Parts: sequence; structure tokens; C-alpha cells
Amino acid sequence: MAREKERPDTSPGTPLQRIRPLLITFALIAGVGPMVLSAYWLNTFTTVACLALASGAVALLYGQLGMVSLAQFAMAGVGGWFCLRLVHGIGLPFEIALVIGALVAGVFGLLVGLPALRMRGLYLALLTLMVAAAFQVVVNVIGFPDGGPGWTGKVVNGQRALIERPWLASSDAAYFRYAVLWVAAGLALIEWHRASMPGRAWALIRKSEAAAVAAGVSVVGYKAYAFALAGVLAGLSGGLIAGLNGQLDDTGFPVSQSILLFALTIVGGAYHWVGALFAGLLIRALPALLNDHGVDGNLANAFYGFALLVSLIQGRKGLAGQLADFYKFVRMSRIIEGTTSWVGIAALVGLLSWWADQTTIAGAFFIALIGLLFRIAIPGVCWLLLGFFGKPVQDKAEALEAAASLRLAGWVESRGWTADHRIIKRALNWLFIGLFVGWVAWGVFQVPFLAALAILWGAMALKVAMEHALYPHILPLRQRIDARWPKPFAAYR
Amino acid sequence: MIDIQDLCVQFGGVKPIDGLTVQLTKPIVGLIGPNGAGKTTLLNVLSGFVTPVRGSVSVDGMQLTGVAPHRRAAMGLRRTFQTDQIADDLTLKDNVLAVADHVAFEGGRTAAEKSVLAAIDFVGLSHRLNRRGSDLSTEECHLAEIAKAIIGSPKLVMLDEPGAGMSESESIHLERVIKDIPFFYGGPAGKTQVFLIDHDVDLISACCNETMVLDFGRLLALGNTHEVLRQPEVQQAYLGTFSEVAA
Amino acid sequence: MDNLIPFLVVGLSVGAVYALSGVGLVVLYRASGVVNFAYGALGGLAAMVCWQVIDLEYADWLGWVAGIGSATLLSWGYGRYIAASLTHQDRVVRAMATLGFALMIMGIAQWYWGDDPRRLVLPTDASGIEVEGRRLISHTRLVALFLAAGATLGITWLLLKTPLGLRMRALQSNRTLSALLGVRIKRVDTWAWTLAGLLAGISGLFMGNMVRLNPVVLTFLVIPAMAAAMVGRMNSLAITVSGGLLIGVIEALTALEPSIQRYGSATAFVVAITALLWQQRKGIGLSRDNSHLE
Repeated sequence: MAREKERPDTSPGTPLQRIRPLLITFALIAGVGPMVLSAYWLNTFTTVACLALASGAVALLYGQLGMVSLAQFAMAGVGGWFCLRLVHGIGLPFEIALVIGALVAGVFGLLVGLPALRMRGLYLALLTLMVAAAFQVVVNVIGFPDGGPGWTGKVVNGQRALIERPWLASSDAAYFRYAVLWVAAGLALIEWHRASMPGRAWALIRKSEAAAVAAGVSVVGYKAYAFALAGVLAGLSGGLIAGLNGQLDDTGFPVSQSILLFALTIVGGAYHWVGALFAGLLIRALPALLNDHGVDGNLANAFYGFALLVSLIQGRKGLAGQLADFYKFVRMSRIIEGTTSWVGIAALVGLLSWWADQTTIAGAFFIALIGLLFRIAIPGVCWLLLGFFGKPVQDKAEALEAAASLRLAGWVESRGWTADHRIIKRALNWLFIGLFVGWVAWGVFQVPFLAALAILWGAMALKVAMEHALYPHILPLRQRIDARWPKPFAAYR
Repeated sequence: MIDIQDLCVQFGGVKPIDGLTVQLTKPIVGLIGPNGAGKTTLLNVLSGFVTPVRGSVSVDGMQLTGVAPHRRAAMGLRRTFQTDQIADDLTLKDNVLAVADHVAFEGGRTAAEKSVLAAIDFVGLSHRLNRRGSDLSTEECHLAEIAKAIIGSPKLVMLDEPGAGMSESESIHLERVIKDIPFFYGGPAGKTQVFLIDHDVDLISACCNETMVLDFGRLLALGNTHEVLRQPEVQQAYLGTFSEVAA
Repeated sequence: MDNLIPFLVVGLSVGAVYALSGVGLVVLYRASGVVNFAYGALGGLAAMVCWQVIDLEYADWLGWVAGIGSATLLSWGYGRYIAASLTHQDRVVRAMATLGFALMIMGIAQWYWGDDPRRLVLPTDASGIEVEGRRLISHTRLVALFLAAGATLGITWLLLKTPLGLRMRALQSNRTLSALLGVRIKRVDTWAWTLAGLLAGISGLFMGNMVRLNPVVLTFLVIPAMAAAMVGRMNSLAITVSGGLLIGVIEALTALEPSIQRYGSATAFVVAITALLWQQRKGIGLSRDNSHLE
């Protein structure tokens, strides 16, 4: 039977290969973050990182095993509680208290998970909801430790104490890096699991528990382990938040946060660590940005509810899934090329704008880099929203745009210039990205909006021109790179 | 060898298996019977998902009664299911490796990987090694299930309708694979027994040395496949008889 | 014993509203397989709309109609359009979608009305049954109790005696098979959602009156309602009602014991967890379609 030449399948790679992009990304974030962010945003993004870890825990249970746990934020609270109690009560160093707190949360997670081992998905969701609700009540009553006596460690009258940051990480910048490294380790641990024996066993269980049992996989054991691991990671994130602020708010772990954590994990994408990052950003960074405009946080919640609905209708892969769908077939060489050219342009643009006194180097640099990330995510969001009206509408819009683009590109080429055959889609992307990233730049980096727009659109135009010019010269190098490295997003889902 | 003694299974008022006693000794044994005859139930008893109210089952002398389902794989029992059980997000290799992970190999990881590659090669899917589970065709999924089932020199491999949904040419390939399973691990008499349930009579007669026929939970016939298929009781159970209508 | 009575009264009446909500949840679950996390949010919306209409100096009954009507309408819309597009996904996904719906309603309601303290006053608040000069139980609470009982009986009648109820039970038993037999899934589902919306609206008004008139608080009152439904295994209306009443009573009685007083609001959750654990105490076996253990 004749078949068109198929693209060869690539292996997803060894565990270390799969963790590498994660480590590189987080190393970049840890390194560059404090250079470009103000103190307020530094603390916000530290919380974002911690929440990303908590989201990773939720994603572990949902993405790997299809288990809905609405109690992970409560587990974070447990971890934070024990961390605070140990530091105040015994004077343990922060790291040790952090780890012990995380382990205790793991035990709690296991306890919650044990009855769940026999339950269908829905009952687990309800059980964990009840646990989260009970935790809210308990924490409201006993409060978080702040230097007081007794087993609750709560001060009744008098000065409440904060715990101190670890001596390596006392400044905001240092703690940011510290937290980011812990988070990277946690998320990398999940990835490592996914790439090796536990991940394979989980995949078998997810497909069919009966088949897993028949293959000799201990379903009970692996599920229990997943619950414990998710508990430990959530507890870790809680302890890190406690360390950031020196304390935890008694009212800071309501059920609504647990629910929101779950919802945004789905919206961000429960099948990839980038999804966890998106979730953290959505829970913490976006509302902070909206606050600057005086937008009520409740409207953000309403929008998140909408986003959750759309994500579920669309097939649950979330923003990270949209990213991966676009990037699935992208080769390593393209990513390297794209990133290098962006970084180069960003540096150039930063220097120019500094010389023109418009903004700081770092700010401009980061604008361009964020533009790179959102280059795919933003159009993905729009496509996602279109999908709310159903796949036929989405397909229709796609078809219309493709047809119009083709005609426009044809017209452009008849004038003698080269044109992308999806020219309208690209132009719309540029428009959206410019506006959105410009807004982020204005909010987070205090760059004047119009300057940010000019920078972004100028940078994009420059990049396209550069790539056109250089393409034939670097083709051999690209082919050599592709032969060596697997596609980084091929294994997503 | 499978030894079943006076097996009786009851769900409420229904008796899917009713007093079954049989010894199955040939390398490839077939099981046929009309729908509701108790075939999948028998398979579920063997794999441990269903507990009989009476009777005993043993494989190669090992008593199976009371052994938990997930321990039976370690004892050398494997089975496939009627519906697809290939994990969507894993590659074919990882799917089979997931089974190998839980079998003790002398020689550790490298031995496990080698056995995975050998099993995949055996069923003829080496060209699909890195293909994601969700991208495999139906035939490839069924073959992959067989690859999973033969990892780790099992004593008994139970195949539940492996030919479902396959075309003619695909069935021929499947026949070849099934006939070779007992000898995959060597030995003239074969080291692995195959227990094959299917509705495809051609497949059964091509592969099986002996065939067992179940009807209403009871043994209807056992013996050489062609002879069994010619027996009038067997044909009646499958096709029914015409009764004279009183004028 | 005397001083227990006010607690029992409060407990029973709040419990009755939990029970009413629980019944709405169970009916919807039985008919469409969806656990509706938006139940409380719909009730909250009903209460806020009702208050708003009354605050604008319109007649009381107009407020009730507007409140219950808006909850019913939204629920109908969700069932007709959104639940329909999810109908072939598994139960967990469909339940999570209602979570999204709940966040939407709660977010908008909280944004519009905010946290200002308000009260939803029903005309039956003013009168009640008096014993020896002391008010034993207000008429509002009495009505709540009757409504819970009445709704249970009414729905039981609906399920057992009407063609619509028969179709609902068919869908619960096996959706695919029922569809093949000619049961119109979309239509029956839509009716189930409309009914659920109606019950949500009514219980929302009572919750707004008896607990607190605040969108977020009312949204999360779905959790004790779910607790009641869980006691009833998402199946038996009678046990759900008993569960709801039990939760209400225990919750009210915790106020009497100082050491556990402040944990009172966790009663529903503890009861639900206990019920779940008790129900799942048997061993693990294979499901009918060999796809999972249960």
C-alpha cells in the first residue's frame, strides 16, 4: 500500500534530556529575574513560582492519573504550618523545617489518598473538596504558628513573630532565586518520574486499571505514591511561601483558593511543567497586574471560570497544550535559531533604547523575550476562546483566514515581494502580542506603553528580515543540530 | 498446562460457569462458544478478577485460588483485553517497557530493554518503536498487546479476541504471530502456553492444537479443533436448529 | 432539654435547606451524571437578584420570581448549550465544567454586589409558632422544612410516575443505550437542569435569609449540600434528606460544647468524609466493563 513519506518518529528522550529544558528555563529565570524586577514584582513572582509548584502537584495527580484533588492547596497549608511550627518551636533551620513540613504534608496527602484508592474520580474530587473545606475551618480556628506557646504555637496577646529567611537567602532577590531553585527541583522531580518507571506505570493505570493489574502493576502502590509525592510538593510550596513572608495568613487558605488552583492548573495545562508556570502566573501575577488598573479580582475569577469551561470543552490541554500543539513539530534547530535571534535583537534593542533614554536595558530586553514566549500562547488563547463557540466555528474561522491570507499573499507576491502564506494570521498575532506584552511591560516594568509597542513590533520586523536573509547560510548547521537532538515538545500530552 | 476442577462461578442468580472440569495441555488451546457462554468469565477467573464460589484452578501445578490479580503476572500469567489497553501518551516501546519494569530480569535494565525490543520485533512492529500509543492503528494495538503479554517468559498467555477488527491480511499476520508464541522462548515443546478466545473460526482452526467449547458455562466439547468444529452439538450451539412448526 | 430546642429548630431548618439543595444535586446527578458545583452559586444569584428587586422598591413576590427565575434560566441555558457540548466526556470533566460555571457566576455577582452587609427578609420571618409566649420556630423555617419534604415527595413522584421521570432514570442507568432506544438525551437533560435550577433558586432564597446574604458565602454553601448528597450516595433522595437534616442538627448542637464550638462549620465535611469512608469500606473489584477497579 503506497503511503506518503512519513515523518520518522523520534524517541521522547532519556529522563535527563527531558528535564534539561526545564532546568535551563528556570536557571534563566533565577538569573535574570532579580535584574529586571522591582521589589514588589520580585515578591509577587516568588509567590508565582511557589504556586507553580503547587499547581505541578495538582497536575501530577490529574494529568498522570486522572485524579482530581481539590485539596492540594490545603496540603500546602499543612506544609507551611509545620514549617512555621518547627522554626518557632524548636528553632530548626529553615531548610530542615521546610523539608520536614513537606514530608508531613506528604503523609497527610497519603492519608487523604488512601480511601480515594477505591473511589471513582468524582468521589475523590468530592472527598478532597471536603478535606479542603475542613482545613479552612481548622486553620481559621487554630491559626498559623507565630511564636506562641502550646501545640498550636499561636500568640494570643502580644507581638506576633515572623520566621527569618535562611541566611543564604535573606534579601528579596536572593530568596527569589532560592525559591525558584526549589521549585525547579520539585518540577524536575515530577518530570523525572514521568520519564521513568513510575510515569510508565501511571500511564498504564490511567488507561485502564484492570490492564495495569493484569500486567503486574500494583495500582494501589503507585496511586498511593502519587498522592504522597503530590502532598510533599504542595507542602514544599507552602513552606516556601511561609519563608517569603515570614508568616502565613490564617485566612489565606480558603476552599476557593484550592478550587482556583485546580481550575487554573487545567487552564494552564496539566500535562506539562510549562502549564504549571502558566497556572502560577494566572493565579498570582495576572490579578496583581489587573489590580494596577483597579480591575476587581472578582472579574478575574469570573474570567477564570470561563477559561476553565473553554479549556474543558476544548479538550483539557490548556495553554501549555496550545503551545505544544504549535511547537510539536518544531525542531530543536528552529527553537535555537529563534531564541538566539530574539536574544540578539533584544540586546540590540535594549542598547538602542537605553541610548535613546526611553527605558532600561533590562526592561527592553525582557519585553522582547516575553514577546517570544507569548508569540504562540496569545494567539492560542484567542483560538481557545473561539473554540467556546464550538469546533465548527473555529474551523470556519481558520478556513476563512487561510483563504484571505492566501489571496493577500498572492497579491503581495505579484508585486515582487515575498510573503508568508498565512500573512493575516501572522499580522493578527503581531497585533495581539504587541498590545498584550506592551501592557505587561507597562504594568510590570514601568515602560511607557507606546514605547513598548514600538519596541516589540520593531523587533519582530527585524527578526523576520534577519531570518529571511540568513536562512540559506545556516541551513547545514540546522540540519546537523536536528540530527542530534529530539524535538522538545514531541512528548507532551 | 491449565487444570480446572469443578469450577463454579455465580453472580446473583446467574451462573456463568457451572461445574467446569477440564485439563488443557496443548501449546495453543482455543476457546469458543456463543455469546454469554462464559468465555470472558473464565478468563477473568484465571486472571483473578472474579472469585469462584467453588472449584480450583491451577496452572503448571501452581494453585491460583486466592492469589491476588496483580501477583499473577509475576507467577507467569498474562492476558490481553477485548478493548484497547495501550496507553495513549507513551510510545510503543514505553508501553511494553512498562510491563517489563515489573518483571524481574537477570541483567537488570539492559536485559529488560533487550527483551522489550525482542518482543516488539517478534510481533512485527519494530518500525513503530517510537510511535505514540494514540497514533497506532487497531491492528498495531492488538499486536502491541501481545508483545506486552509475552515479556518475561510467561507460562500462560491468554488472548481475548485479539483478532477483533482486523482485515484478512492482518489476520494472517496475527495467525503467524500466535503460532510462534509458544516457541518464542525456545524449546521444541514450547515454554509458553497460549489460551485463545475468539469468534473467528478461521483463526481458531489455523492456530489451535485443541479447542474447548463452552455453552452456558458448561464444557460442550474438547479436542482436536477440526473435529470439534464438525460436531453437531457444537454447530447447534452456535447456529441453533430448525424446529418443525406444527401445522 | 429546654435550651436544646432553639438549637434543634435552627439545626432542622438549616438542615432542611441543605436537604433541599442536596435533593436538587441528586436529581441532576441521577438524570445527567453531573455533580453540579454551581448549585450554590445559582442559589446565591437568586438571593441577590431577589434582594436587588426588593431594594428597588418593587413588590416582594416580584423579587422572588425574578430571583428564582434567573437561577432557573441560567441553569436551563447551561444545560441546553454548555452541558450539551460536554455530554460525551467523562463525569469528572463535566463536574469540573460546572466548577467553571460557578466561578463565573460568583465572580460577577461578587463584583456587582460586593461584601456590603445585607439581609434578605421574607414575610414569613415575622410570624411563627409560639409556645408559652416564646417563639419556637418562625414560619420561614417551617416553610423550609415543608418544602424539603414536599420537594422530595414531588420529585420521587416525578421520577416514578411520569414519563419524563422514566426517561431520566433510563439515562441514569445507561445513557448510550437509552439514546439508542430513543430517549432524547438533550431534552431530558435540559429538563433536569431546569428543575435543578428551580430548586437551586428556591434554596438560595432560604439560604440568603437564614445564613448570610453574600455571593461567596452562598456559593460555598454548595459544599454542605454536597455533603448531604454524599450521605445519600448521590442516589437516594430519602437518605439525602436525612443526611441534610442530620448535618444541620449536629452543626447547630456544636454551639453548645465550647471545645468544639468553633469547629462547628466543619460538621458537614466531617459527616461527608465519614459517610464516604463507610460506603467504600468493601474490597476492590473489577467494574463491569473491565475498565477500572471499584
